[in-house]
Amino acid sequence: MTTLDLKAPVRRARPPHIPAFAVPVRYGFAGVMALLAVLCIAFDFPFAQIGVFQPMLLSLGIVIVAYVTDIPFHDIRARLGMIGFFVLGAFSAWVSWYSDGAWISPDSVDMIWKVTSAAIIFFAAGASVWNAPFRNFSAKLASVPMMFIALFAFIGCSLWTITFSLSDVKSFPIFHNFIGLAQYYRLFNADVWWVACRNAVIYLVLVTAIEFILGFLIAVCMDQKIRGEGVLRTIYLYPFALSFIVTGHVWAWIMIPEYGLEHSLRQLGWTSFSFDWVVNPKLAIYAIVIAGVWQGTGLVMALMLAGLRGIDDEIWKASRVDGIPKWRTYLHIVLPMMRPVMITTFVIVASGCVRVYDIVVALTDGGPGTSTKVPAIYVYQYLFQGGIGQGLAASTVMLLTSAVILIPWIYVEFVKNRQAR
Amino acid sequence: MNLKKFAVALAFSASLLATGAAKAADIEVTHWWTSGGEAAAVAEFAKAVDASGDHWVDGAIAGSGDVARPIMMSRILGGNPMGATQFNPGHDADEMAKAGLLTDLTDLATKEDWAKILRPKSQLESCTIDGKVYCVPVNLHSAQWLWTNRKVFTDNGMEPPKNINDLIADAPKLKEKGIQPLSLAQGWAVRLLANDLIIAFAGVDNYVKVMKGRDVDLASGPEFTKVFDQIGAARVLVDPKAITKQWNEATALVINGKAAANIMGDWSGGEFQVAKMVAGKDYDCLPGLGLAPALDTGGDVFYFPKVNDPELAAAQLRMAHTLVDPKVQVAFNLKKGSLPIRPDVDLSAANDCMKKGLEILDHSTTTLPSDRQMLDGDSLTQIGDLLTDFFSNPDVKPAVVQKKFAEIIKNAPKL
Repeated sequence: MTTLDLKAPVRRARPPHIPAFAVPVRYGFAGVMALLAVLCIAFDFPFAQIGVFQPMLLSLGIVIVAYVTDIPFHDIRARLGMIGFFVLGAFSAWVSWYSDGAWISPDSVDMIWKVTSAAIIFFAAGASVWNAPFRNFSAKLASVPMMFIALFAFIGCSLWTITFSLSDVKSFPIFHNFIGLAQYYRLFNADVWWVACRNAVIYLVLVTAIEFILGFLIAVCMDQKIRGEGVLRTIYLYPFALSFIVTGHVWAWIMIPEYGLEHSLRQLGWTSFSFDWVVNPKLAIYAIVIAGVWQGTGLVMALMLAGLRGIDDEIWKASRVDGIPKWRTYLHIVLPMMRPVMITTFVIVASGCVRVYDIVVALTDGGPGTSTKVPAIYVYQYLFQGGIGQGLAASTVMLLTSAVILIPWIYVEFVKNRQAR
Repeated sequence: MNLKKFAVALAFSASLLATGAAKAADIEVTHWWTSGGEAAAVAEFAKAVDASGDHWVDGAIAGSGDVARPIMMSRILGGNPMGATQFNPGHDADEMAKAGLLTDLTDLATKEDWAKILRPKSQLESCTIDGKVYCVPVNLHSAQWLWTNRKVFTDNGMEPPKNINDLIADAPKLKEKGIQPLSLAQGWAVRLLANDLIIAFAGVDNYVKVMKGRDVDLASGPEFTKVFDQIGAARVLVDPKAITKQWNEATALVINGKAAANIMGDWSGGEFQVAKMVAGKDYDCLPGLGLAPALDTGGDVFYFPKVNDPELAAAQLRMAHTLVDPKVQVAFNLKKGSLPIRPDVDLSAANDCMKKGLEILDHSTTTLPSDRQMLDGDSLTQIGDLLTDFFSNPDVKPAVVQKKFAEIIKNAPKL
């Protein structure tokens, strides 16, 4: 097995054969930075709606600058200083909110943020004169888009969501009043939310389990070097090529008793036949599970098949020499060896289950009544019908739940294993 | 050849000049009127706007208002406003107006004296925020109609119902004959049905007192206990197996006699008309479910987002003027099946159901604002979930629903 030494130092000094940037380049960079800082102080961002997020955007920008220039990560004083600036800005903003602008006016909060940001930018600019930013410059520059996406799209938007879930925002995303955890209190007292959570759990457990078992069995069958494998694989994968909306509608036509399977079988003479899950509040969620499994099994099968094909032939030969039955080889040798594939598949399937939305909309639209509501429908419903705060609180809970499940797994899978190595 | 090219160029520049002289502007109009009748109606507006010298650029957004509203709001919010947009009257747009994103129409409204010519008052009131007019009402829709197929009743030796109570009384007999007493569509149609039942059983005054006046005592009192009990009893009307996906499918069940009745807004009337049925002879329309003859005055309005281009801004005002023009109003509303917002127009072509609606609108003393005008969207969504659950699940007890209903009313923010 190849070993990737993750402990090796990532940061390397500039090799002597790479020359330092010419003086004009360095000073030019410093000049641009300084100009940026001045602009930050002199002007507002051109989109006024961003309002309270201006400081957040600024600090994101600062983190990127700091990352590129490399300074704050080298120097403990710079690191503390940056955190200090951030705390100062956040604290003043909080005091301003808390006192409704009486103790510190919003304008001065703005100013504090701007000055601190400018200070850090100036610092970076100064550092660039000493050529620090250009150590390993191209690598850092290349990773800026990644940094930006990670910081803005993932962390920034999550922070935005959490911040707004603490407000009484209704249909217009402007932060008016801080109301603490009231949205969460309401959320946890809403029956519909708990119905949605229960449905999500049922869907997650059943779909994942059934898709894994079915997918693995089909993959094993396909692995017997049968004729026409390509055709079969296409057939099994075909449902996955359909969107959830199409899947949902097709299964609705099949399952709605008025004109679906029940109707046609009764027309054929089996008058006592009944298949009304989709209109029965107690069984409707299982009808959705059927459609979901139909859609997703092909993908699991394809991934498992790829995993099976990755097993070395020598293993098979060895097990045959030892006279181990085929099913046993699959169960006790091949399956454990497929652990990485299993984990990848599980993450793909499970994350699809947590955010399940469109198939439910197409199949039952959350009905009958509210019996097949899922968290994503709850979020969407409030988000776009005048209860943004409530919708964001629900999505924050979704995020946290996923995190609570994922973080221990990430820890075990990556951190522990690395330490053990 | 050269001459031809020259002629084309000349014609082209002439046309440029001509448009320049009229100072016309392209107005992009977003709306969610995409079904057959709706599209025909909106074409009338487009024709009128084009005739006034401007150019209507159609920006239809497929799907219901639930789909379109967020798109419209995010465009206005994101600094990419359209020239004009359809919307529902209510408090959704308040915050946009307060943030200065909408064009102020007050001058035009005072000049043309909208306050006098437009009815009912509540419609213009909900366009008025802090004393300034921000939108143009264009039509009135009401959601409190009971539609019955007369033939279903007469064929089975029954008297066609006069109100919802008659229908409940007839339900066992209809079920025996294999006919659904009441067809129903899933989703918002359940919400509409439950809401209509509250209005019918509680009466308009009590309904408004609770929804607008936030009378929590009334909502949790014995009168509403009775209302919720009655709604609970009305659950027998619906066959849960036969709930359709779309409202027009539920209406179609009534039209082809598989169901006896349907509760839906006046837009259902269009379906009956398309099926060549005659009001009063083949089908009945009972406003207020036959019990509380009042109609809510929801409907559609147009907002004009603030734009930088002064020519477009002028065109917006011209369009606002065009929308309330009597002739345009008639042409539009006849196709839409809704009621015009001004009484001084000729509606001789209207059908019986529309006339019934007009009658109530002109002579009723009790006004019933639409729910969006009385409560915020957040609370309405909560009530919707509660009532949907109540109506679809026979295990839910009326008393529990009443308690939760009162709680939502209590917590709803003042508007």
